[in-house]
Amino acid sequence: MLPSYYEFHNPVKIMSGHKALDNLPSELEMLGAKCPMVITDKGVAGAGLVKIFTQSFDSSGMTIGAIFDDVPPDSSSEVVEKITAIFRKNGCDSLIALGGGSVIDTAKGVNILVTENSDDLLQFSGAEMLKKKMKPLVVIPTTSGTGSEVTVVAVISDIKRNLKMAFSSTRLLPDIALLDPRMTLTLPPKMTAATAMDAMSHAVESFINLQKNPMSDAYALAAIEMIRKNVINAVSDGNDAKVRLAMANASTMAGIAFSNSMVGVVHSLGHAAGGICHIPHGVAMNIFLPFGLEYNMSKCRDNIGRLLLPMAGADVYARTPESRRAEQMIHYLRELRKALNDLCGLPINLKQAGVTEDKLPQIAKAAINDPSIIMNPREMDENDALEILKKAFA
Amino acid sequence: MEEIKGYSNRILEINLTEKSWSVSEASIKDREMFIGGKGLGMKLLYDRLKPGTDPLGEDNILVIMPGVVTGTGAPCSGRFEAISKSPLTGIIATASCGGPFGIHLKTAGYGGLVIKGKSKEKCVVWFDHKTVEFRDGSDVWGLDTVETQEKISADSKKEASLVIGPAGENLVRFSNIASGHRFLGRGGLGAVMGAKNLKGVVARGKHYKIVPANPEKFEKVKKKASLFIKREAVTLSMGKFGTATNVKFVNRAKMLPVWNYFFGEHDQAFRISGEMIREKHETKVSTCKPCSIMCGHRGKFNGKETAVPEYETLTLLGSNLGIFDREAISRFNDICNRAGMDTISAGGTLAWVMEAVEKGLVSPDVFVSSAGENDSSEQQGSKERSSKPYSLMFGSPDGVEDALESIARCEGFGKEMGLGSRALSQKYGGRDFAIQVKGLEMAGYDPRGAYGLGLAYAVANRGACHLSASIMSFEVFLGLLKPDTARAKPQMVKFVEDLTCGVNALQTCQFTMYAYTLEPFLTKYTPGFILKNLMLWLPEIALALLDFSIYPDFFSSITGIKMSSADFLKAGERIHVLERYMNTREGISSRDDILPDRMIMETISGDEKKRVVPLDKMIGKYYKLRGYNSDGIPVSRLLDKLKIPSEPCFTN
Repeated sequence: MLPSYYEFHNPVKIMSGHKALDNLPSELEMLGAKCPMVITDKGVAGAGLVKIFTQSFDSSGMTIGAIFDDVPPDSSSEVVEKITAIFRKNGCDSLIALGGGSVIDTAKGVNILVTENSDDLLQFSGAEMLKKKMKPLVVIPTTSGTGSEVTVVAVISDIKRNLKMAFSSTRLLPDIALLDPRMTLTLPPKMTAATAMDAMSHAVESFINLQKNPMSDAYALAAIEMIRKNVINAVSDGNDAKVRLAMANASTMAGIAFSNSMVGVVHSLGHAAGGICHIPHGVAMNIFLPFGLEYNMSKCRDNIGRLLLPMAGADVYARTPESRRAEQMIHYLRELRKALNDLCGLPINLKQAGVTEDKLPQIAKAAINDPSIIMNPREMDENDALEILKKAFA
Repeated sequence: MEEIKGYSNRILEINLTEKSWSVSEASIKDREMFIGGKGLGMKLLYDRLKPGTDPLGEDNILVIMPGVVTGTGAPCSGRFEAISKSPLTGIIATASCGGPFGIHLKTAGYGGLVIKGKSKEKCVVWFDHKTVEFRDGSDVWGLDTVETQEKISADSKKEASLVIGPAGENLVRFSNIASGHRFLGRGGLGAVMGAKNLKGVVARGKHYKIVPANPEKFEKVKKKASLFIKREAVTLSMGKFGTATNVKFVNRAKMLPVWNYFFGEHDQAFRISGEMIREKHETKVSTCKPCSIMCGHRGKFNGKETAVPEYETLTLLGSNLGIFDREAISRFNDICNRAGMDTISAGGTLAWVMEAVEKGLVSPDVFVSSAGENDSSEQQGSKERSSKPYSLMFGSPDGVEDALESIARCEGFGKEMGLGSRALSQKYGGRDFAIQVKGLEMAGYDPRGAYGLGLAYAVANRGACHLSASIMSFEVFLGLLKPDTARAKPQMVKFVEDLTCGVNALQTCQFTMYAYTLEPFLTKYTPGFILKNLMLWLPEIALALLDFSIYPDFFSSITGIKMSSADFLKAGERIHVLERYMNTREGISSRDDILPDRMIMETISGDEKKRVVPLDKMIGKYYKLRGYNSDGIPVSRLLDKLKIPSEPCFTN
């Protein structure tokens, strides 16, 4: 059903292709950038991706102003400040984030400080606190899952003050999301699977929650189908560039979808479990997704049923009675999880992920206070959350 | 211990109606012409079974035959054959099994067992080298195949049994017969025993030692055979990964049955592959005895050790139902094994039912199972069974266990499902998607990916059987014969059928055909492209170059009767044609040598090549090569050439 009112916003230019990187220097020029700074992490550098990246600049005549390759797994204000200093010292005028969620959030943080000419991130945290036009930002994801290359948010820890700062602004949207499969070829199978299921959770939740709209639906459906068709091959043969490119596209589409319709209970539980038990986000998404759908079944059975089409294909969808499509969608999702578990050991329950049962009440409490619950189709109290967690435990 | 030199022609004949037994003698001439196992058993049946006999009536006959190599210690020599008239197809059914009964039958001094008549009471037959006992079977009636064997074989080291489970008792048309953990799987032979009120047969063997007539030659052949088995790649793969090693080849060839042969591949097929099963289920060898190939395995499923499902089970009760959950398939396998049911026909029938429900031909309301005593939480303490609705739907394991149990117990709609997919489609419609030939459900290879297999399915004597001519080995596994062409297929099918009949008469494992035909010098060292081109363009020459002399060499060294490769192949042809002739006397003709519409009119979903089996292009040539007339009937000239008497010399 068409919502009486909705907004959809995605100005990010997508550059996708097997040699998409080669076009980056000229794109930067068009953005007015002359001296970009590259932000990445040790893992990306160690995998030789920075080298591939810099090669694309060799014949362009453009100089890379600075490369910072030591972003930690959880982005922090200290790192953001350190990079900001390097940016300023080297006279950089634009940013390139080459990495996963942490690198991208860090780059968004740096962009806030260099644009606002400030050294205090905290004053910009919250919704729509950014007023100035940001420096050009290009994001080159090296995982296919977070969707951060097309989202309006960033989360950065302030270690001194012991808090997590959340930033949300359309100004945080990168100018370009560049999808080049060479950047994801080295991603190990388990991380490939976990990030893929992160993308899957973005698409699925965006399709069933309260803020869904026809635009986000289109992206979500396309993303789910692309993930379903490629994830097993991506995990079993990481060197297949076609499959990697498809996964990168799917992740970006899922990112566009949830960025415009938000997520739900799966993410609430995932954020809580991640915070308390340090389960990687993609792993948590994989565990909670079918349970989250079952929890929401009473409120959005039809929407879950519609997801059988991208999840299982047209033949299966057409041959499944309408009354059974929602259950079958969840069944197919579970089968996909089992397949990924077989292939790379991606946990399918909390116990496998190393969570102990005594932590469940604490996770339940945190989950109901997570902001992503707001747009979930069904309200959740602490008991509900605990019930889901018990089901997902073993 | 007394010795039998090579073989015994003493046939133990048991009459259940009269509770009597006698010993007859198979002639040396028949031994030479029909070898043993399937061949000699077929001849014994031909001489005893009148056309038109009711498969479930008193007059049907069950013949159990060990082979010439059975019990000799040759590689893969623990096998025996059963031959009867099938209650599923109404024509001759043959089945081979690697259980211990064959060796015990032979070492009790018999070259065959013929079971006739019908017992008034439920019974178990026990015999050793000198006597036969007719025992009360009422206390084991209702027990499953494992419990029954434990109970009726008092001395498991000296005795071996043939038993049926509840499915056989309830005349499920695709029930089977168990011996140890192996089965006489296809064609509903379990129901033949059930109809005779025969729960089990126990052979107390080990009275005789089987020795070859020419020990030196035998040892030489055995050494060569063992060496070949140890070297050949497909054989080694089966030893490591079981028959499930085929999954990856078949999926790659897009001929994996999925959703009642609607799809030909699936991205989750790897979950049921031999490689994945080995990795996840702590598999270990559990084979026929003796065996050198080691394709049978046990593994840990659902927390307990059990048989690893074979390829056919993984496909027919797995992928073809849209199920890739190994633990679920293992549960289905255990239900079938304990109840004594063929997993291929059970799976093929359930796939038809699922599609029939989808198409509205069968109401989903018919699926009601009676929950067991322990399942009834609402009626604790009550011995009444309660009703429980279940559903059957592609892609969902829910309901499959209920359905299998209800078939085995012959309850509710299970009674109808127990008749097989042909009978169901005759009653409800949907013949086009009843994936069977002559009433026998198709094995787990879609012939639209390998046309030779399509022809083999259509003309196979017992129905849609992949073992009549496993030509998909050449077309898919070995890549020696272009799969999607009709060229050379009639010649290849005829050759493989004849050779297979010889192998089943000798009674050794059909899987030896890889090692014994591919490892000899000429085949092994002929460059692949030459072999491929020869097979495609000059099949007669290619087949003439194929060296399978190990088989006749085994026969000669064990029996002392000279046999050349040409003689062996001729014997195979004779056996095949005799079986065909017997079937034509039951009414079989070219009208029955067909494939389901799905295979000849519909392409596999998503198949860019839009392949269907060009049966019409192959079958005429096949008949001609065989010497059948255009109606598919063996002509008298052919029978004369093969020295098959057109009228049997009835002996009762």
